[in-house]
Amino acid sequence: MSDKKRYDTKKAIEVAEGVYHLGVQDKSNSFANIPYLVVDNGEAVIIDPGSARPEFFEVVLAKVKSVIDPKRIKAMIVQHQDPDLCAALPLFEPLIADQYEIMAPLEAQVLLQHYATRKKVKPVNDDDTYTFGNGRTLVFVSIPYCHFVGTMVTYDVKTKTVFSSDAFGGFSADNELYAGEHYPVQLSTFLGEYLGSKRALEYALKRLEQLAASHGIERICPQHGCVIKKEMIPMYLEAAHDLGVGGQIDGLAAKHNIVLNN
Amino acid sequence: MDSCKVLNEFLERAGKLTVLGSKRDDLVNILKSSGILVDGELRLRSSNVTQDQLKSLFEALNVLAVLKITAKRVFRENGLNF
Repeated sequence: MSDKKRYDTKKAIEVAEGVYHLGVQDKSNSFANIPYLVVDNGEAVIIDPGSARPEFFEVVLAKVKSVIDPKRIKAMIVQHQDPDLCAALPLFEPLIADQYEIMAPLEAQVLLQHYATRKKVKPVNDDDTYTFGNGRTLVFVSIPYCHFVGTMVTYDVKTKTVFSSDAFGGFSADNELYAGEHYPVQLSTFLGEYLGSKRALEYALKRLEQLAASHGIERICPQHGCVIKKEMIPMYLEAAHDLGVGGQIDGLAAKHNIVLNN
Repeated sequence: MDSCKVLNEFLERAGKLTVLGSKRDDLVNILKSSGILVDGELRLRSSNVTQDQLKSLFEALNVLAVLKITAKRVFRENGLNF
């Protein structure tokens, strides 16, 4: 495991056994783009492969190559369909294994085709799994409407890592690897504005708490912001429970004198 | 509603979103164009801020999307829905 505190543009950072952070800093927009690579016994899976913009994709590809030959990637997992997570799909397709899968929630499947992927997306459901050749298992956990109808997170049973996509993401222009003193504000500002439903958030949080109680969570790896270590997770769960979401509806309703019945 | 308090809250959050390099300069200039003076640490130098200045700031933040999203949240929490 690496003891690095910041990520660069060259090398992937191993944050858990066989789990590599491929993050790209975004100084201009405070919107870091962080794909992850899971490698086990020479077989690799990329989770949320990232942007198609060259300044992002080329860094991600270089970081993959710093770990393994891209031809070893046998699956690309997409946790929802936003372009910052997966516009790179068609760029990766010719570079990875000849026999590969693209896996995504059913509701995202119909949208992902519009990135002009060659391969049809394999839809996955809550509790479905991806199993590596030697048995390492990734479990897909649905957190619907958080923030897209089919959104899911992925749990690596071996390292007890949650790849949380936008959930637990934060706005950050910096390249800090781990959540620090400012991350509560970075997270609450991002999550608070990008989520519309408190009910959806509560389901996601309680499902993660259930997972933590039953199997343990060592770290949360979001697609924006910073990795959250185990000791910090309870604090962020508590903060997320307290978070107000969907506020733009109330703001606009007030502006336009619309009365909403809850 | 205390406009200075609202603006300070926005500036504090903006600082924690690690606004770097030229973007920090852009923010300082946008604030200045709305008649709001801050120092290099994004601390307010004006003792009086009006609601019109906050509205002007909000409109000018289009070029810094994340900060506009932040302003929208802070302003809304303080009853300002521009």
